[in-house]
Amino acid sequence: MSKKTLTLMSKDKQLFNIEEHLAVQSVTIRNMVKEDGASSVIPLPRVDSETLALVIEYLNRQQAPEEDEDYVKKFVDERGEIPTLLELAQAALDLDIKKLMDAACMKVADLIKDFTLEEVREALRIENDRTPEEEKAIRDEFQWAF
Amino acid sequence: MEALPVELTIDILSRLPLKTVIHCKLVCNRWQNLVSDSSFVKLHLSRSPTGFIIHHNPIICVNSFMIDYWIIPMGGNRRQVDHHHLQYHRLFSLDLNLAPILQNTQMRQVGSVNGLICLCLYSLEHDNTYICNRVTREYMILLTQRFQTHVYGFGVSSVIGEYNVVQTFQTKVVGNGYAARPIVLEAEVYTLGTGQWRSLGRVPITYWLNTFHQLCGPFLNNHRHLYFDLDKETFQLLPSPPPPVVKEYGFHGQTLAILKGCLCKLDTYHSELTIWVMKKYGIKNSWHREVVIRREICVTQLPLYEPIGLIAGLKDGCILMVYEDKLCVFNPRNETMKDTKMFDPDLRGMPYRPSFLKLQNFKLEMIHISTSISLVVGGYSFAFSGKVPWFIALVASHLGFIKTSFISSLKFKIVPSSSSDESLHPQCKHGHLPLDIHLLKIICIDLIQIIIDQR
Repeated sequence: MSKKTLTLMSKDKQLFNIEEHLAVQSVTIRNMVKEDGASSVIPLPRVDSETLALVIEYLNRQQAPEEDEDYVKKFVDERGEIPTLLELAQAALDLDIKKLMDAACMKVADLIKDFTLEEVREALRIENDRTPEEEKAIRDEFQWAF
Repeated sequence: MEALPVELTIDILSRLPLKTVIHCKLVCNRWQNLVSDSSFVKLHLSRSPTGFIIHHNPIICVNSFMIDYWIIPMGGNRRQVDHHHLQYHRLFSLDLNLAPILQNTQMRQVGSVNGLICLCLYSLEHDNTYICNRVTREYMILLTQRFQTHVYGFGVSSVIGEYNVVQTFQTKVVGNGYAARPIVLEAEVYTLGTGQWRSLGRVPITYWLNTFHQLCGPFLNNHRHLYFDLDKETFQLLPSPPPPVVKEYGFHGQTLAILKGCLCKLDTYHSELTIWVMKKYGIKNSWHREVVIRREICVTQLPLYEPIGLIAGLKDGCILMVYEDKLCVFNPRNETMKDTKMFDPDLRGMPYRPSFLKLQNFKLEMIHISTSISLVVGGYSFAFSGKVPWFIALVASHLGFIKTSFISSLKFKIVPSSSSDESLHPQCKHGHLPLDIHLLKIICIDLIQIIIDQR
């Protein structure tokens, strides 16, 4: 039996081929395949080509189940940049690949754990919309945590 | 890059340690709202690692109302610690504004479930049960009309997720003579959110007066354990481990605890301690004798009347336990027992899993918000919600109203009174209290007078 191949298309219209039995680790793709056989190209409008390449690399891994946990951890560790990890987590969320999303979110949490507030805002590109009064109220309420 | 989707933000935040989550409330309004959301609370709890909270017995005397809690993170299943890497940090101080009623009162920690702590306060006039979550600063009081109750346990039912407190009380006395008088017990359950105690009828077992003090946690009656099934709301008999091997008369202490996620039983004799582990819950044949600790190697050989408070299995096979009011590590490989010396002696501990669970979710309950500091002077209780002039705290400390250890913990936290621009007293920052005590007394009395006048 020949292995069936699926084609995924990134946000910037690049095409990626992947064997179906590997692609269905994504619950989203599995459901699409079940519904219509997914003969045509599967568009992923929120995933850019760099991230999709990473996701494909992850899906193509050849690991024994017991080594899988370590592999996914190492996989995200090697891509330890917060923007990349967030893109990866976003893609894993869209494609419903739980292990990858867990690992990517865990890595981000580990990285931002010791950041200052400013560093957290900068890393996650958040605008500070708190007034000093609001900030003080929280500091007062949770005195023991500061 | 556009803003992170809610789902991803919640997922990342739920993996952060408790204090970092609180710090994240400061990041932006959106994050503060997310962290207060019930879906976040649930996800955070599911990932919140269990630790041990350690506290010292509050001194049962006037004005003892603060308990400092310390936490030793034990990590999740995959990230267990070994005994060389035990860490601890201050978690919080618990203050229930109970100073006036804490006088001549005894306190007992019943237990902790999902970040909620159940405390019992016994005094001559009243017994009160408190449920509190120090993270959200909320607490509630379960009022009871009965006296001499014994709060038996606090837990959450696995099926419907209700939080229940079970207490027992003595109803009538059968038989003659003091020593041989069995106690007939009745039980009541309080489901948080219903606002009342419900009767469970008679507890199907008879107790002898001299075993009453052992009714801590699940009942122990000779070698039989009775536990309360929160789903079926009935008392059940737990299969017990084989009878003791030690042929020895005299003291035999029995405690139930949790070790590596399994129920375990600790048999304490004069010569040794045995730890039994029930590998499969409810299966009699799965009782396994985990370790036997000879008493010679123990820190002291005094008879133990409250043997082991809590125990935990560490990654390297060592067992962490509160023994003789000290936090000790037993190493089964070389059979040694060491005091970790992490804390002052006379400590208590229990497993604790921090959460942001709000007591306000329980309808029909009156929820109080704990304030940061309260002072009791001449029968008046003063509560300051997070804003205490540093000098009042200093004065109070000097006069013995609050413990100095507490004041040093406040060094950066005391907010100067809003009416003035005083910054934190520089010496207060370093924990030195150099002011003249007589002067302080005068200032304090003046201040107290002002506060009384304003009431």
